[in-house]
Amino acid sequence: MPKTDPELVAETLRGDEDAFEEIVRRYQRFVFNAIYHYLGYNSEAEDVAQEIFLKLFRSLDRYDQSRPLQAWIYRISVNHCLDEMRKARHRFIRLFSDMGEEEEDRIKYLFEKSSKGSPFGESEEAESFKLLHRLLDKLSARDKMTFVLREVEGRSYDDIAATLGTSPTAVRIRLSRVKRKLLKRLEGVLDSR
Amino acid sequence: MKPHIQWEMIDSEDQIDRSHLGACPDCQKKYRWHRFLTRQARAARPVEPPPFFARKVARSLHQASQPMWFYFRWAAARLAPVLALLILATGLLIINVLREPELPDAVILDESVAGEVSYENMIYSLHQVPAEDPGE
Repeated sequence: MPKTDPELVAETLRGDEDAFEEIVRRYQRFVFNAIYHYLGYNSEAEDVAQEIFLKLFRSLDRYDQSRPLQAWIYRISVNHCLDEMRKARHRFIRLFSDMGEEEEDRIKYLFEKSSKGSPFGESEEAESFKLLHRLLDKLSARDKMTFVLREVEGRSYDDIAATLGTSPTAVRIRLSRVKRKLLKRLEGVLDSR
Repeated sequence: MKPHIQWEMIDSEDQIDRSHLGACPDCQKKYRWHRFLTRQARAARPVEPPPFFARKVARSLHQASQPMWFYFRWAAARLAPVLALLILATGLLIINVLREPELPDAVILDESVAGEVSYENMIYSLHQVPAEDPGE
């Protein structure tokens, strides 16, 4: 019979490396998908996921075992990715924030296809999601995270508010502001040239 | 004509005023943008972690820079049985060292004091031993 999460946590805290490995195995898919949703890329996902699990390991003694472990991992993942977004903004976005012509052309192509109601292929779906993240790049980390939690993951306003430490009303206001900015940005890309 | 649809406030298609949308080219254009953004957001594909990722993370725990207290706690938990044995062995050693050494059995040189063996009697007996005749 598989061990429960609290059992694995207790064994990890007693120094059992295998117990922690089992926790990672159980939640790795969840964390990798979260990273992909929040950051929009796969290339460095392994490093980011490893850092998230190390953070989890270091914080296990503060984990309230009456609550689901997945919620704790989710919180750590969101906070870590928010930090990553802030770092990325400082590192790259100010220099390379504008889309290249090629990216703009691809957005136009996908938009036309979408307007005609044509289905996307698998690679086009992936490309479309990546391009969405390019549109999101100019937003603040918190704006971007709010949009992703709501529109990509489909989480409730209450859930997002609890995760980001704010109120559901503030989430609604932020989200409408983000959407306005995104529609404006999309308009800029589609109406260019 | 009704005011334009506020697309940023739209959470689902049910909230769209269809009668206005049908008659307003400007809103139709924005509707296409809005629908495209929603479609992009739903385009995320499921991701699979690389093989052996969990093992790699577990192995990296040793190399991770830990706060001092955490390292101590982790090490203490792993070494607890060894530490317990070490403490037990050290305790036994200390008890052994502190215990009074056993004196050798007294050598009774004078039969008259046999049965009353004590340090004083032993000294007394030694005094009663006749000195050797140097002339012999």
